[in-house]
Amino acid sequence: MKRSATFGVLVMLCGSVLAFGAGTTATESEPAAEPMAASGEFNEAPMLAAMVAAGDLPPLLDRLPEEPAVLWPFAVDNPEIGKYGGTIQVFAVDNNPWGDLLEETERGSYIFRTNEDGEILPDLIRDYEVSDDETVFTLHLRKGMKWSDGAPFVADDFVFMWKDMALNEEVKSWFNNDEPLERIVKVDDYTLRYEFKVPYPTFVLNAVSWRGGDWMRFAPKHYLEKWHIEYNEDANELAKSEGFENWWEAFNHHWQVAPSNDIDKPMVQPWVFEEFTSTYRTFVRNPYYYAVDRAGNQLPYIDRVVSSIVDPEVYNLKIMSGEADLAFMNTSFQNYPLYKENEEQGGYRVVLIPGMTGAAVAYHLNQNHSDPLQRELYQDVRFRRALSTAINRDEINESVYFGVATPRQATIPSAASYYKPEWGEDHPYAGYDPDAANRLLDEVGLTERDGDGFRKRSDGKTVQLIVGYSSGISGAEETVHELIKEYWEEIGLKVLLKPEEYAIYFERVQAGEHDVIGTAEGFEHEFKYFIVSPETIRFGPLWHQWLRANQSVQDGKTTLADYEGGTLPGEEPPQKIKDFYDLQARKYASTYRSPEYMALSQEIFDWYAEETVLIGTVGMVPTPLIAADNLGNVNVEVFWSAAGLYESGNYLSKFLFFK
Amino acid sequence: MRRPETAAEEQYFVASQWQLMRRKFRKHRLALFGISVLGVLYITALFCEFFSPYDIYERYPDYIFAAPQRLRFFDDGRFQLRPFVYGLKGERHPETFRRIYTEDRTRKLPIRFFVSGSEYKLWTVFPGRIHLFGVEDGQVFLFGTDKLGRDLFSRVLFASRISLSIGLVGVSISFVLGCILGGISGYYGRAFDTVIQRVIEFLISIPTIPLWMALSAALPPDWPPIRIYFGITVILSIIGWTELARVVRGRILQLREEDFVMAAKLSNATNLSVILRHLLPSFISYLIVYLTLSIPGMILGETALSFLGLGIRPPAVSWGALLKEGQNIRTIVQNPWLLIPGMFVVVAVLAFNFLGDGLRDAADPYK
Repeated sequence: MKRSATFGVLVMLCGSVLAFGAGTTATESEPAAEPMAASGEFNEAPMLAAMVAAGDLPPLLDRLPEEPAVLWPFAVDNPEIGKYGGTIQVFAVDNNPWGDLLEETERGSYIFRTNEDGEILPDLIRDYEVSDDETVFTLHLRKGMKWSDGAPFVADDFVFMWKDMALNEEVKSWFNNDEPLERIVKVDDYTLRYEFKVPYPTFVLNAVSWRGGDWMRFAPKHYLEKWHIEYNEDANELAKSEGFENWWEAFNHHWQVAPSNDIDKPMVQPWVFEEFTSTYRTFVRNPYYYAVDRAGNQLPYIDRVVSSIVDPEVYNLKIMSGEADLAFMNTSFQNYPLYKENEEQGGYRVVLIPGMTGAAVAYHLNQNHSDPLQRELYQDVRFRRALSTAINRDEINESVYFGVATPRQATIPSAASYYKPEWGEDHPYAGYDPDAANRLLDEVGLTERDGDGFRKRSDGKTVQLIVGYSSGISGAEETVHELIKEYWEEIGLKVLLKPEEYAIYFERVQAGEHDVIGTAEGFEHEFKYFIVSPETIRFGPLWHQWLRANQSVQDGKTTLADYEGGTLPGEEPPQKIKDFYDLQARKYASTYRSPEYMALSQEIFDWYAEETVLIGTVGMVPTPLIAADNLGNVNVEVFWSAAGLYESGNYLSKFLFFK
Repeated sequence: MRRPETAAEEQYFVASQWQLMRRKFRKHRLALFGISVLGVLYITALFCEFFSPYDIYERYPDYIFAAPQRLRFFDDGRFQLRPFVYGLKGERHPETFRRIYTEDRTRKLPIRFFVSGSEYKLWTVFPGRIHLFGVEDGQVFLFGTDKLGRDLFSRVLFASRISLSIGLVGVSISFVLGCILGGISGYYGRAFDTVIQRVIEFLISIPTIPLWMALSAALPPDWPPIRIYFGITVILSIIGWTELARVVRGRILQLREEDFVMAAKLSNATNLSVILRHLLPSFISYLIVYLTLSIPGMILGETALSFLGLGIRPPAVSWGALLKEGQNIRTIVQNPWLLIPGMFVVVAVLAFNFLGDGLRDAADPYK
C-alpha cells in the first residue's frame, strides 16, 4: 500500500512537469551516428588527476568504458566546452529527490536519451537492436563501463533487478510491472535481451525516462548480493547484526533509491553521495562516469553539488540573494517579477522556459457521480460545453498569468507534431460566450431558477457543483478556482470550492466520490495516455476501474474469481468509452512516431475536443529558471524527452560549468 | 460616638456590587479605550455593506495589486475640506511583468458621501445601494487591491464580520458547558465528580489534528466554507470546555467549605442559587480573564486552521483568510498592504485584552 502510494505520488509529480515537443520522425532501430571524440584522447578533472597521481585511483583510460558515450549539450543558450572544477549550490524544499539537480545525482542516468529532434538514442548502453516483430530488444552494454566503486557494470546487474528483486515477493522494487515482459536473458556479460510476450515498441519510450534508470532496470549486484538470501545463506544473521528483522528488510534498506539510505551503494550517475544529513546533501563527481564531451573531457565539469533543504519561502529568498547557483524545480511563475527585479543585485539571470503543460488548471466532471441527476448532467456534452464557454480565459490569463500563458482548451501542447489548433486555442467552446452557455443550459433543460437565480434540476433542487482541489497547491491555481466560481455562477450554476488536504483529496478522487475537480493537467507525458491511468479517467473513475480489471482478466493476470462477488469492480462503461480506451491501447501498441501512432494520437485528441471531458483554462505557462551569471551551458528551453524540463534540466546538469 | 459618614462614603456603602463594578470600570481608561475600539469594529462589521464602498467580489482587472491610494486635502497647495484621490494609470512592466501604477494628476476624484453604488442586501434581507462613501467616474482603494483587483478595504470590513462573530459562538458554548459541568462536579462531588472527571480525561486524550481531519471529511461536502468552519468551532467547543471545567471545579471545592456558603445553606438557599449567587461571583475575575483571552485565541486560531483546509477559505473572507494571501516573500517585498488585515487582528486582540483587564479589576470592587 505504502509503495503504491509513493509510486502514485511519484507518477503524478513526474506527470506534472513533463513535456512533449515536435520533431522529425525516426526509426528507433537506426540510431543516428554520434559525433566521435576528435582525437580519441581523453581528459579528466584536475581533482581526479591528483588522485591518480597519488595512487588512489586507476588512470582515466582504465576507468572509462572502451567506447564512452560522447555527449554534447543542446537546448542551452550557448553550448561550449566547459571548465573543470567548482561547487554548485542548489536548494530543495523537502527531503524528496526531485529538488534542483537531485534528480541527476540520485537517479539521472538512463538506458536511452533523446536528441534535440526527439530521436531516441542509447545513453548508458552502447547500442541496441529490435527484432522485426518488436518483441525482442537486444541491449549491448559498454564494455569496460564501471559502477562508481570501480566494479564492472554488466548484464548480471539487469537480470538481478528482474529475477531477484522484481520476481521476489519480499523485495521492494519499482520494476515496471505493466510491461508484458516474458523474461530478461543474459547473452554474455555485455549483451542482454528483453523478451516480451507481445510486440512492445513502447519499451524504448519507457526506458528513455526515469523508467530506464536505477529505479527499475538495474542494481549493483556485486554490492547488494550479500544481503540477499539467494546469494548469502547467512543473510538473515547479517540483517539481525545490522538491527533488521530479516534479510529483505536489510536488503530494501540498502537498495532504496530516492531518497537513498545507503550512501555507499555504487551508482552510475555523474555525481555520487559524499555526505547525507537531514538538512543538506553533498555529492562529489563519479570518477567512473561513462560519458565524455566532444573534446574527450570526462563529464561532469563541476566537482561538487551541495543541496540544502529549506522552507519554500526561504527558497525564494535564496534565489533573490544569489545564493542559489541554479533553480527551476520549485520556482513559481507568480514570483517572476520578484526574481526579475532582483536579477542584478543577486548576480543571476532569469530565463523563462517555454511552457509545456497543456492545461495549467483543468476541470473534470465526475461522470460516475453517485447522484443520478447530477450524473445525467455531467454526461451531457452540452452541459460540459456550456461550462467551457462560460469561462473568460483571457481574463484568467491577464489577471493570474501576466498575459504570458495561452488561453486554450485542455489538450496536448501545440508543440506536438500532430497538433491541431481546433483542439486548443481554436476549440469551438474555448471562447468566452456566456449567452451561448446560457442557451446550452436551457437546451439541457435547466430552465427553472430558484430564489437566488440559480438553476434548478428536474427534482427541484438547485444545481450545485462542488469543485474539489488539493489545498497544498500554489496560489495561482486557487485564484483560478475563485474566478471559475464567478463565471459559472454568472450562468446560474451554484459553485462551492472545497479545498482538501492532499491525502483525503487523492483518496476521494480514486474512489470516485468527487464531484468536480480542478487540477493541472499536463497532457505532456506520452505514457500517461498510453496506459490509461487513474488520473486520465478522472471523469469516469468507476469506468476506469472496470476497464482496468477487464484488461487484467483478458491478459490472464487475474481471473473473475479474484474480484469481490465474482464480478468486475466499478461500472461497465458505455461503448463510446470502451472505444476510447481501445484507441489508447492501440496507440500504446504502435511504434513511436510511425504513421499509425500519429493517426491514433490525432484520433485521441479529436475525441477529447469533441467530448470536452476536460474543461481547460489556460496552458503552457512558462517556468522561470534561475542561473548564476557565471554558470555556463544553462538550459533555456525544453527539449523533447519523456519528461520535459524536469528531465531536460537534469540531463543537462553534467554540462554545467563555472566560467 | 461614630463619625457621621460623608455622602460619598455613604454612596459607596449602600451601592450594590454591580454599581460598584460599573464605577470602577469607568475609571479604567485602557478598558474604556478597548471597549470603544471594539464598539467601532462591531458597528462597522454589522453594517459592512453600507460602510464598504464596493462588494467583496467586485473585480477591477485593470487595477490588480494597486497600492493604497492617498487621501488628499491639498490640491495644488490649496486646502479643501472635501478629501479626494487621484485616478490611477496602470501598465505592465515589459520585462518584469509587474504592474506599475502611477497617479494621474489630471483626474481628481473627490470623495462623496452617501453615494449610490453597487446593490447589496443588508444581512441578506434589506436591499440597498447607498454606501457611506465612494467616488464617481473611477475607483477609490483606501487599502489597495488584491490579486484580482478587489478592494481590500471592503474585504477587510466584510472579513471582520466573520472574524468577530463565529469565534464568539464557540467561546460561549465552551464557557457555559465549562461553568455548569465544572460547577456540578465540584459542588456535588461523589459520583457526579467521578463521571465528569473521567469524561474530561477522555476528551483531553483525543489528539486534535486527526480529529480536525476526520471532521473535515465527515462534514457534508455541500456545505459552504463558512458553515463548515462554524460546524468545526461548535464541535471543538463541545470538547473544548474541559480546561475551564477543571478550574471551576477546583475553585468550588475550595469555596464550598467557606463560612458564607454554610450561612447561605442554613438560610435555605437552593443549590442553584448558592452556586450562581455566592460561589461564581467569588471567582468571576478568573472567568473574565478566561473569556477575554479565549476570544482573541479563537481569532488567531482561525488562521491556523486554514492551513489544514478547515478554516475560512477563499472565496469566503476573514482576517485570517486575507492574511494567508500575504504569507509569502512576494507580498512583503512587493505588496505589503496585503498585511493590513493583520493590523486589525492586533487591534482587536489588544482591545479585547484591555477590556478584560478593566473588567477583571472591576469585578473585585472591594480591593
